[in-house]
Amino acid sequence: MLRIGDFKSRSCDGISRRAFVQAGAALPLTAMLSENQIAQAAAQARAKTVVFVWLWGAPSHLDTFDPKPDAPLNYRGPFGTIPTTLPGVRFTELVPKLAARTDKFALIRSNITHDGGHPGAGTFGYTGHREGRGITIQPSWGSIVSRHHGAGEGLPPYVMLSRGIPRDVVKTIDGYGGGDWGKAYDPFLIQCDELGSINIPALKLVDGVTPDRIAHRRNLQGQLDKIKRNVTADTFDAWDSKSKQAFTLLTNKQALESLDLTKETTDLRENYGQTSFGQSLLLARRLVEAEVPFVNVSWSEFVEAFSPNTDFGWDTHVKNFDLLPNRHCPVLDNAFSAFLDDMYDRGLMNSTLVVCMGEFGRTPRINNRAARDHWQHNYFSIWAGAGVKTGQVIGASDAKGERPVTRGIEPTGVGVTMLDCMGIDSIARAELNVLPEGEFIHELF
Amino acid sequence: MNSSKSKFVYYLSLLLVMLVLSGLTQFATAAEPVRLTTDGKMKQDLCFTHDTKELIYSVLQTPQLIKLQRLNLESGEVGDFHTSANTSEIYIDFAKDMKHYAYIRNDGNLHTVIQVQDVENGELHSLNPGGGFACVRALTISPDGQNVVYSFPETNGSQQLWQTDNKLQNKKELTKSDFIDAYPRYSPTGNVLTFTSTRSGNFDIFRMSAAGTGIFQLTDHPGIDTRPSFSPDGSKIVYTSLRQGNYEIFIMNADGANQKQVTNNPGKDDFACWHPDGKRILYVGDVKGKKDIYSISVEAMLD
Repeated sequence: MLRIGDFKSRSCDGISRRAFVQAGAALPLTAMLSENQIAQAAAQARAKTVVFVWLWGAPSHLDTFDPKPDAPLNYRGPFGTIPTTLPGVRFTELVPKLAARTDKFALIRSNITHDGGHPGAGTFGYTGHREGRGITIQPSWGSIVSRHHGAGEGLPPYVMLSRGIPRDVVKTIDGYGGGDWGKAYDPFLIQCDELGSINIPALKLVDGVTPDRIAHRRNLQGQLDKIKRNVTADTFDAWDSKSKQAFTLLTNKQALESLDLTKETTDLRENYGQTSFGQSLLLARRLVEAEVPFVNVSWSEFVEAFSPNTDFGWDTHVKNFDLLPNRHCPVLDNAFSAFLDDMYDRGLMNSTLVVCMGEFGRTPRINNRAARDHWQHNYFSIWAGAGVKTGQVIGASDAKGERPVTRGIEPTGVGVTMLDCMGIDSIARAELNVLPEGEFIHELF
Repeated sequence: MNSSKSKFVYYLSLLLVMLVLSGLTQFATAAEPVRLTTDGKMKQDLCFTHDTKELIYSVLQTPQLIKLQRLNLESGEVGDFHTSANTSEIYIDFAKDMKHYAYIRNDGNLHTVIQVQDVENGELHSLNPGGGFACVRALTISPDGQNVVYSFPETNGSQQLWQTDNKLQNKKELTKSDFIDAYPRYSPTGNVLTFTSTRSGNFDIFRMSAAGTGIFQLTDHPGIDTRPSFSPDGSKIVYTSLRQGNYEIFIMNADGANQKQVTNNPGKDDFACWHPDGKRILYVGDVKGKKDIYSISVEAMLD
């Protein structure tokens, strides 16, 4: 029985926390929603798709979307500020194209999280839960959507566009995928390089299988049987589901075409820029058109900004004032602007929720390496589409950008809002036994 | 309309026409850029070898590796500068006689070292700036090859310029301030350094003697002015400016006078250096999403 009551996390439908627990206890974890429930949820959903753009490594909020020009130099840093299309709202000079597009998104300046390390904050940002708390690993937003919506025709329901699962030089984050639900709910990883070429790592699990061979022979089961004999039971489940998804994708002409960026005009591809991030955003738009429910675009695989064998994330403990103007901000500014323009031009924003953020911010006070360290007490997020009221700034930070002076918006609130927009309301979440806390961000709508 | 008002409108119109014409004249003197590379990959830190034949620069060769690359301007051939490099290398600079060159190598997690190659003796000198996340930012080698100046952060959050000899010994702090000093470049004589600094409140361009005295501000604009580099005769400086709201290449006299815009591209133009003939500037231009090296004649813009 579900009850309305004192749910700690205010949600659209106001289910109580106690009711949530009761519902979770009453239902087995594996309980699946009925087709009728899914259909009802879909009808109520604001969005068919979420595009979750993950600025891995954590960009500085002061040097981008929340500058503090009146703070002392050892806080505000060396970058000038420029006006945006919103009266009185300024960004730094490093993001001029996005400053000219503030009518196309809402900016939150009061995000907070509760873990100052990348893996922990990464897991927090993907699941709303800390790493290392108890023995369970909660499913990520994309995995929840994936389970709720199920697989469509050809394309997997949770696609991650990245060079790899988000990680630092030590480890991958725990919360990137299905967690304790199992690898069946992990993201389907697609790598997109700066020229728009696609690589699907899951295919490497299937020895000797190429798209041509699959298409002609259509003998997946035979291939899988062969592989099953050569792998351990532990890994079988993982590649089994992903290999099946890969096969399904590769043998479905329409799905395969969704991954083909050569179908786009040269001009449009150029607008996104010749970077992996830019082309991945373009691919994300194509996946939106193909109605993939959850698309995660990650800036990089590694957080590290400048370390051997890593791919230049936003973790600028060093070279913050070099990398941001030289590389990171121009790439973000150009590619994300092109993505927003393209999405609006095609009328896709009514049914797509776009969220762009990192795992935390960076120290407002410049560190002893003339750069900025981790700062979980205040950061930003960008929201657009699915009825988000654009052209507004939600929340505010203090004079030095150290802490919000308004309600702090936590990853649980980000998750609740994304899931609610996808029709996964608190009842559905309770039935899935996920995300018992979190406050819907009403100001966005 | 009364007389004083019509006079005001007339003079205002005249002023606007003059401003427009002066702007047009400025752009009219810069020639069309010539594209030298076509791969579109991210490039930075252009530097000529002094025999004028090759341009060396850093390029994002793979998603995880920035390599030094050479472009032969006569043949158009492109190749690796250090073929066996397996970790990122940036900011190369050559002595005039080509007997020494210096660059920065990423040797660890958020850590870089300076390397100086003694070409004649085949010796490679290395300076580890410290443990932890110690990261040298940018460097220049004196034209006579005897000294290296580099930027490195201090514990107070500032970043200063340091000098060493070409064996990376005898460190000496050239600047001492609460500000961020970056991107040093020697003048052709080796007597003067130009660099970027936040002494004015944001990134502007400064100059000083090679001994670190007589600091003088050359640009003063709320937008970023950065990465200065002297012309071969030392009379001009090329630099990147964000003053128009977009990264463009500018030149000015070595005393800061006569600042002129060289490029006018909707994309980012950056990392400029002078061709040794003193008549052309090479830079990385972002045109239609591709980052390539362009050459532009500034002969008509020189006094």
